[in-house]
Amino acid sequence: MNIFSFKTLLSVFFFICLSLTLILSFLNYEIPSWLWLVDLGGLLAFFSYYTIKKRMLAYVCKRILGALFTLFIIATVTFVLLRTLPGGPFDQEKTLPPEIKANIEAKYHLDRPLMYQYGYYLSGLVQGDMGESYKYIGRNISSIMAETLPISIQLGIYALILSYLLGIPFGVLAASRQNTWADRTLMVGAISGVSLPSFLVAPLLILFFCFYLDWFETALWEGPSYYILPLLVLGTRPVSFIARLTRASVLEVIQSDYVRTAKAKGLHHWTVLYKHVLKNSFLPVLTFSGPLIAGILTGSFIVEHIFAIPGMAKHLVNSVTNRDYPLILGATLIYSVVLIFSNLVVDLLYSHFDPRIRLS
Amino acid sequence: MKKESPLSKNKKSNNSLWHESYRRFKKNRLGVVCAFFILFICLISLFPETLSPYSFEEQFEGKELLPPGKGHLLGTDNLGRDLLSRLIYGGRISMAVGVFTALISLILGVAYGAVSGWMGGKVDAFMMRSIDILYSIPSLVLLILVKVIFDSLSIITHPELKALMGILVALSLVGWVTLARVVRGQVLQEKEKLYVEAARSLGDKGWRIVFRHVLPNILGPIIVLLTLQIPSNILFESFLSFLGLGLQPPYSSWGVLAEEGWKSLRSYPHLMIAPGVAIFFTMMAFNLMGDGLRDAFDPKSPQSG
Repeated sequence: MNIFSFKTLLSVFFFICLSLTLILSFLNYEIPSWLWLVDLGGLLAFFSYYTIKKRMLAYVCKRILGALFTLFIIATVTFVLLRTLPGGPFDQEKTLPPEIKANIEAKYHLDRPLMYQYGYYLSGLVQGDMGESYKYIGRNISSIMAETLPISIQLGIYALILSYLLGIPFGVLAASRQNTWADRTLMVGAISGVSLPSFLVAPLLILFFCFYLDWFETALWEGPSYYILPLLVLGTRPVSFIARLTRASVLEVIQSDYVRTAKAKGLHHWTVLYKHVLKNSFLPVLTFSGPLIAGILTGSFIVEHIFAIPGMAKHLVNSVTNRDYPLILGATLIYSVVLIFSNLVVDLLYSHFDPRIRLS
Repeated sequence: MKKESPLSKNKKSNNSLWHESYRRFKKNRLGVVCAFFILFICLISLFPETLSPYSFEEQFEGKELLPPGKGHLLGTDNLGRDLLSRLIYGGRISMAVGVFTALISLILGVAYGAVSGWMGGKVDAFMMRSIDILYSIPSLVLLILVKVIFDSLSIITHPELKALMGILVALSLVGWVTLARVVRGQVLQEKEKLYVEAARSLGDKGWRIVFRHVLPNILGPIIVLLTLQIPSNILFESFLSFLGLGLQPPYSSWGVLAEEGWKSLRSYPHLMIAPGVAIFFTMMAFNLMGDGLRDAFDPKSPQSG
């Protein structure tokens, strides 16, 4: 393979751009718009290139249609359930005078039949309008989401990268030194990491790094010194999971025949590990990405709550106590979109890394 | 009904799969220690009054926010309640929630998965599609959603009972999905095996084969999943309570305690760290025992996952 071919250069350039975006966003610098364009364009280009090259266009279309259908079902069921619940958002406090109540209900179309409300909501949804919040008067759910979603996504992506960046080397290290003290320490660390609830990690880290050392900030989301602790807390479980998984998978691959052959050829320990073992043991780790992303989504709730990060979780939690049904509905949909989309990407990556898998 | 282990050829005594697994599990010291630890926690949860020095809502005036020390081993909270007692009674609720929801999801999941895997074809496709929909909502969002819906129903009027029931229903509804998927996959595999055909040729009818032959054979993976489901449910319960959506004080669970402690972390960190450590040890015990059980039931499986 020619390393200076156009394709390789393009992918290297794209990779540098992506990393640059990540680093800039982590350091809280303004990201120039051309970089965004390159990132988005590159992702789209790669996505379509592989879809067409691997003849997966039909599969991808099917998956996207399936995802839309799933979202439609989620929206419908949640909408109907929330709207038919006894006790609306406006009758928890003092009883309002009937005229005012009627006015409010008219404003939110609550006086119309359920079918009308549903149709109204759906038609709004298609245009990207998720209705108005009951609690934040005059604010559209879409605008709340547009404000909070980037922060949550930023947190999630950092945590995802962190878990692979730390988890895989840890796992490989543990496996390549199986049954030594390094392996044992790492694995004890990993099993503890899996069992640690974030509301134990967080206070310990805060007590040490914020109150004792005074290095980082305890709350909000405004720069690198704000990012590190939430990331560590959110990353603990995924890193441990990935490390355990990588170790197990590397150990399994090490026993296989082709690794024995490679060793018999006299290849260096690390060459075998890097060239033959790592590539093949990456698959189970990649498969785990789906549950991993789901776990990070769940964990981000607690982390956002602990560190008062102005992300989506805060709104979803508050909307429950406020009975802000449109906000609950909107947040549920957005979270589902994120999860469905990441699962699709994971599946596609999977087919890329394992040519034996034929998606249909 | 029990499958003969291939290993039993080497042994003289009649070793069933269960004996073999039991022996393997016994060799795993850490797993056994964890099993005893869990037994211990279960016993405390069943009889909290034996170990708990005070009641969980008794307030000692003038003794608010004591640090850990004599008289109050773990100190007291801002209302002068003994933290150790609250921890023990809280553990009771956390454990009960974890165990009961795991059992309910077990029943739902096994039934659903077995039907889906056994019927196959269109029924299977439909049942799995419906599960996929549940799967595309992040579990904490689904939990919150189910709880909102349950809380608004007026079946139960007692507020505490309602909060508890809401958590139970939500957690069970969320937990069974994974179980159903695994059971379905296992049933699909087992369905093709010879013993099923043998049972059929002996005249057994469909559901009888499932219950008498297939399910006992996949009990191992199910038990392992169940052991891992309990800690994750305990964690989810504490998450909900920590977010302020679960139980409310004076009733305590570990999550409620953590939520209370969070408010005064800087001055009184022990209030938050104590419940956190309790959850940590319980989770660790369940996870290690689950690992041990998995290795015992399926020695060929990778070491973790």
